[in-house]
Amino acid sequence: MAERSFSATQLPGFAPKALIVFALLYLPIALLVAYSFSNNYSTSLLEGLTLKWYQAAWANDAVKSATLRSLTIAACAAVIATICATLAALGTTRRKAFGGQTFIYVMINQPLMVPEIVTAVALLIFFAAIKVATGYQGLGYLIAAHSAFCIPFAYLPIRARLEGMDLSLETAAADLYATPWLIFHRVTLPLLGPGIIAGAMLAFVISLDDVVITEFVKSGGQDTLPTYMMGQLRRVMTPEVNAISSVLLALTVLLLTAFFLLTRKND
Amino acid sequence: MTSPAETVREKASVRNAWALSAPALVVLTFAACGPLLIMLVYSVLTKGEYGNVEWIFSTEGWRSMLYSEDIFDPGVFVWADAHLTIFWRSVRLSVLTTVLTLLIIVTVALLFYVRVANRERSHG
Repeated sequence: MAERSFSATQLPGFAPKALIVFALLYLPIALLVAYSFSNNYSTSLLEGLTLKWYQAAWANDAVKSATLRSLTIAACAAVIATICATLAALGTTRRKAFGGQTFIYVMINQPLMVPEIVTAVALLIFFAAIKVATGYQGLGYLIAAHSAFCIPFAYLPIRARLEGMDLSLETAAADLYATPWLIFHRVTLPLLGPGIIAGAMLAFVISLDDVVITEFVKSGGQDTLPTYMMGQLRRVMTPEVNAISSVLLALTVLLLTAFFLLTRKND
Repeated sequence: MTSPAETVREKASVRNAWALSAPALVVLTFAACGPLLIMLVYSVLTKGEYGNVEWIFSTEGWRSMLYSEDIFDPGVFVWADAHLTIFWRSVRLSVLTTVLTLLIIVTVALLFYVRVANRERSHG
């Protein structure tokens, strides 16, 4: 069949075109990484080769506490979002369509559709009221906000994995008198594992990367790594910001690679 | 015709679906949808003195989005140019991005399609 054998790589000039597209997409990022090694105070002059900006970032207490805060929030949000998303995926797949199913889909995917800035302003109003009423100023608000917008990112890969699993193994286990909990623990969960891990990692990366909602919701002195870097824009930009970005990039690429390896279909 | 046992099982299935979705719905209501509704309510309240709101109905927020009172002529309303310009800039950027993306991907898809069609014709 022609469609099967057709491949985009056979088109004339495929390699140069692909190279141009990749260059357009990744050149800015490559430059950012290159400048992080620049032995110059400016972020726009490339000279020499040094690791001093990495050392500067490592020695910077503001960067350290922002990194720790980012990782704490991302880890908590990823765990909460993944648990909620796993349960919701189990609830909304592999059963007869029911009234309200669309409502649940819309609710879960809502953070993907509503502009983030709108949610950010709404959260600012809502959490400010709670802050006044309770006096609590901690990281809880950021964790709650991040958990909410991470749910769809965790939900989608888990649901995709569940939809590819039929109920025959679970039915077989039930025929052998396994209790519902035992079936879940010994059959469903191990099969669903890669999907859950993939969802959790996606949620972690999305939370780590967030600026808009974090900037609006955070209390004083609660800078995360992205909002700290944005704050540096108003002051002096040195290649230190490039160094932090490069490390963040490496971490993200690492997690996303693991994500793709885990979600890859076993052919 | 469904048997009573099947009806019972179906009802349990729907109940489970809602129970399993409940945690996600609670988190999303608390930190995503709920605040959006509160913001909608706030938009029709009166501005307070200390950055708060008074619980009095007012369309002032919506009006000031489109018109602003002239600073020298109280009672005279002019178009709120700043808001409209900024809003238009955002909308224009997203519309242009969408159109440009569509142009590129439709072109690429058409090129592929034409090639596949030609190939099918030549191979019979």
